[in-house]
Amino acid sequence: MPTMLPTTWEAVYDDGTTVTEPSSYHDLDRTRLRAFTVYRHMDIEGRGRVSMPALTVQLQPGMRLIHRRRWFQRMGGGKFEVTLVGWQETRDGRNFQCLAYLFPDGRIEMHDRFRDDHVCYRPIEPFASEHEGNGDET
Amino acid sequence: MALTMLVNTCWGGSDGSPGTDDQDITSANLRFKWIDNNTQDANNKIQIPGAGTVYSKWKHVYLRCSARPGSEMANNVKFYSDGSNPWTGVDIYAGDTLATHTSASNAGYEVDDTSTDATGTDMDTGTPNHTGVTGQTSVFSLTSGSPLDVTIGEASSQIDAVNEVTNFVILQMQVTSSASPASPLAGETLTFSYDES
Repeated sequence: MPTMLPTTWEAVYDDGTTVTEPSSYHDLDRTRLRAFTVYRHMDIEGRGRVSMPALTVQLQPGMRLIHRRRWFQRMGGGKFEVTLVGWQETRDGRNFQCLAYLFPDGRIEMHDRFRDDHVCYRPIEPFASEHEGNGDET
Repeated sequence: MALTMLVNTCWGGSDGSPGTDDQDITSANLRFKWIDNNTQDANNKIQIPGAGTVYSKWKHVYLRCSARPGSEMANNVKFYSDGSNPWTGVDIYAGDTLATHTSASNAGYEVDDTSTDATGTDMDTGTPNHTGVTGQTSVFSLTSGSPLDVTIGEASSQIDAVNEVTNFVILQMQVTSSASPASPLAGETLTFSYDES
């Protein structure tokens, strides 16, 4: 049984330069992002650590990146991550979203909006670094 | 690269100043008793009443960041159960409001020294009660579809430094005369969820 490790990301700007962790997500210039890739990592007994790209979001001008590691910490032990990655865009005054949820079992779900009826799909809350025009504002 | 977030509790001491602070229960249990500690033993059991309801000492539970390898931040914290109460005559309630708590202050901490016997008092409506609690809801009504919002009193309402915390979730077990003896009760798992970037 592999041990899942936290996902990481790689961002690509419009001039082709790349930024990866441990650079800060909060320092990204989201207006210049053209691609954002989430990587999965796992420790497999007998094979060591295996890393692989799981999903790439291609971003066009005007699309605003959305990314979160959504953690579920059970009291008494047990923790898992669902990675949220996607984009939103305002067209004709309307907000459009394209969201992917990466589950630890390898499954990927696509959604066209946040949902208030389940904790896994709830809307994000912008961080202080995610201000209007450069962030994940919803 | 990810934050290390622990589930913590605290007890004892005096209002605003827990005697035991930041006890890690991430991989342990929260033990509801009629005295105020979280020692992992079977002492000080809640006694099933002949009639009416008795109350455990209330618990202060929260998330605390113990390690921050990079520039990660956390917010959007929720708390919920699986929605299924496995017990008869026993329930756990969560305060609808959270008590103030930051890395610099335990201002919302109120020690449960309300009773020296096994009956306890209701954290919401009892005399005395926890003044940080206004209304309460069974944790089994707090589900993945309707979780409790766990607020953050730190700057910018986010956790972005080691030892920063959420506000206190206040929990209390209530036992009625219809309960059956058990020592301890079958375990129940409660979950915190949070976002990180």
